[in-house]
Parts: sequence; C-alpha cells; structure tokens
Amino acid sequence: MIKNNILPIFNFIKFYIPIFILFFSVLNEFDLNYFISTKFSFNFVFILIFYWYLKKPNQLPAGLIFIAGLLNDVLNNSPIGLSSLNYLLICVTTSYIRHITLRPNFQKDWIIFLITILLINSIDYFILFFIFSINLNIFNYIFNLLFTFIFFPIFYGLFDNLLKFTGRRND
Amino acid sequence: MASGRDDFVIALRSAFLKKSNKQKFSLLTLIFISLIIIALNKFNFKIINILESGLKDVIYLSSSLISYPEKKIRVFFTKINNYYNDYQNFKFDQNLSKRFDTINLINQHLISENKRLKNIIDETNSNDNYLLSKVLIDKQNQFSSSIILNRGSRDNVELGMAVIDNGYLIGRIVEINYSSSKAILLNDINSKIPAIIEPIGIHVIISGTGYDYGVIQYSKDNYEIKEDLNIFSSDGGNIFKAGIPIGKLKKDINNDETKVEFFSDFSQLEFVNILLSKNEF
Repeated sequence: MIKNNILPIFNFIKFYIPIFILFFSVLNEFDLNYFISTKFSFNFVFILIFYWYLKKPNQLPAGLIFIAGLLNDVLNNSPIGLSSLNYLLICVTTSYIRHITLRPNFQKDWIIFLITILLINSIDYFILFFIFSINLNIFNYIFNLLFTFIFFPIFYGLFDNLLKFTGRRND
Repeated sequence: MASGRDDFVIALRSAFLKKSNKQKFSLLTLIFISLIIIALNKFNFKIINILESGLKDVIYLSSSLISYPEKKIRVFFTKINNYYNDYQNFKFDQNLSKRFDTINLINQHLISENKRLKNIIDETNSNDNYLLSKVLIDKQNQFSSSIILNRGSRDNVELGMAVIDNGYLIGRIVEINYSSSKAILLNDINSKIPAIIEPIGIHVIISGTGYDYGVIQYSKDNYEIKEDLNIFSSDGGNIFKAGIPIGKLKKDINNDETKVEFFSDFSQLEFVNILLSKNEF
C-alpha cells in the first residue's frame, strides 16, 4: 500500500530532476573561481537548458525557466528579466534545431551550442552595456564563453546518463 | 526554393509558438514578458521597485537556505587551507614575535601620548556605532562582488554606510530592504572609493577589478607610488569616515602595475560590521 503511494511521488521527482538542478544551480552561490582561478567561470545553466530543452522539453517547462531567470537576476544584481530572456532565447534556438534536425548527433549539438552562447552573450553584453550603461570586462565574457563551450561535452555525457534514468515517462 | 523557405518559416513558427500539453505560455509570449520587464526596469517604475524589494527578501532567504551546505563545505576547505598556511607561517612568526612585542610597547606609548595631546587641544574622540551583521549570501564572480546582509531598514541601516570586517573597510551599502541589505565590495568592478596613501598622504581613487585586488584609478598628480604603502579611507566626497584601513600597495610582477591588496579576505566573510555613524565632516 505504502509502496503504491510512494512510487508516483518518486516517479514525479525523478522526472523533474532537471528542474531541481536548474533551481538549485540558480539559487546557490557556488563559484568555481573561488578554488581554481579568478578568471575561471562557466555557465552551467546554459548547458543544462540547452541540453534538456533539446532532448526532453517536457522535463524543463519554459515557464519555470523564465522564473529561474528572474531569480538569477535578483541574486546577480543584473537587470530583472535579462537572464530570463537569455534562457528563453536558448530555448528558441534548441526548439528550432529540434524541428529541423533529422539525425541529431553530438558534434552538431556542440557547434550549435557555441553559436547559441555566442549569440546570447552578445545580446547580454549589448543590453547591459548600451541600454543599462553597466561597465563590463569583455575578457571575462570571453573566458566564460570559452569554458562553457569546453565543459559542454562533459555535462552532455552526464546528462545523457541522467536522461536514461529520468526520461521514461510519456507526457 | 520556395519549399525551403516554407520549411524555415514552419520550423521557426513552431519554435516560437508551439506549446506542450501542460504549458500555458508559448516561448514568444514569455520572451515578450521578459522584454517588458527589462523595459520597466530600465525606466525605474515605482511599482517594479516595490515588488522587487518584497521579492528580494524571500529570494535572498531561499538562496541562503539552499547555499547553506555548500557554504559549510567551503568554510571547511578554507579552514584546512588556513591551518596549513598557519603552520607554514608559525616558525617565521616565532622569530618576529619578539620584535613585535617591542613595537607594540612603542605603539601603546604613542596611543596614550596621542590621547593626552588630543585632550590638551580639546579634540573629542568620536564613538563609532557598529552593527554586527550576518552574511546571508556571498555572491562573488568577475561580474559582480556583493554580499547580502541580514540587516535592513528596520535596523536603521542607510545607503552608503561603510561595511567593515575585522576593522578593515570592505564595502558599502547600496541597497536596503526591510530585513536585508546589499553591500557592494571594494573589488566589484563598479566600486570606486576615495582613499589616501599613507604615510605620503596622496589622495587617490581605488577602483575594483572583479578579481581579489583593486587598482588605483586616479591620483591628483602622477606621484611615484612605491610598494608596501598602506591605504586608508579618506573623507573625500563625504562617503566614508576617514582612516579605516583598506589595503596595501603591491607591484604586479607580470606587468609592473601597482595593485591594491586588500587587508580583508572577501571570500571568508561570515559576520561583518556596519558602521552606523555616517561621516559628518
């Protein structure tokens, strides 16, 4: 009886693990540049959204991505709505790619990810610098972009395994 | 050719407008909402500010709770690192200890002499009022360096108040909510504060870099600034009380530039003091 009650809850949590990871990574204050180098940083959330919205959009609803962006802006002291816009633009790109791709493979995804984050960071820089007149160091953006691109395959592999674990439900 | 264009339009329309079963808004709608929020933010509407202030308290608290385990892990690793460094320094410090005892005696003599002389010229000593505050969130990366404190307008915290860690200046309050406030740290890329280099007495502006050091952005004349000189806050611009220690000048070996090495380690902040008495000079 107890097993019958617990199983649906467990399945629900398992299915929505990407959402928990998204909110956890947005709300926490962990930065690897504390330990490795002051120049080291990468955008884990970009990789997470790109992967899951490409492979299983049902597990990462756009509405929650939008809310995660708002939380990220409040915590990072950036203009409210900017991260939401960035995240949603990743969703648009991945959604478009999903519709036009017949045989998806890792190499294609990696290159498209690079183009996507280049576009997103450009928009981000443009809005912050030209609209909000915030002083920015472009090299920080370049390092961040480079490390995000380099770390993509590692997380791609990890998420592939996670997908096998979580994505067995049809919605 | 026309069919190719049709495919592109169909894919694009699908990307922007298609909704899954449980989704209430399309991506296009959400993007529009984001853009509207950014625009409202840019024009600084009062209602957005009120909503923001209310939301921030809740979000800061949630973030603080979620970050608690990793904060403890970080503190644990830092402590191990500190113990190792302390051990390395221990032998060196033993030799210095005797020398410092002598210096301390001279220092005590100078302090008492200074008090006696102040009494002679009738100068009153200001009593600073500090408010101990816990660091709820410590958000530091190249783009922003700020801390969220558990003191807000209900504790009489005001904008521009100095934030102090172990007697060293580390930042100033830039945002106040009811029960929390945000302080921008000295290493934040947008931080610029007036300071004075002692003992040569040159007034400068210390600017943050996004890293763990600052730079001298402006000095009135091009003085030759030597290494190991101490920097204190100055009362220029009526921003801070004068004389709070900030850091030390260091030469960068790689590019021969002068850096400001802060006395306080900004990655180790747990409790800080807010200097409640504002500069009245």
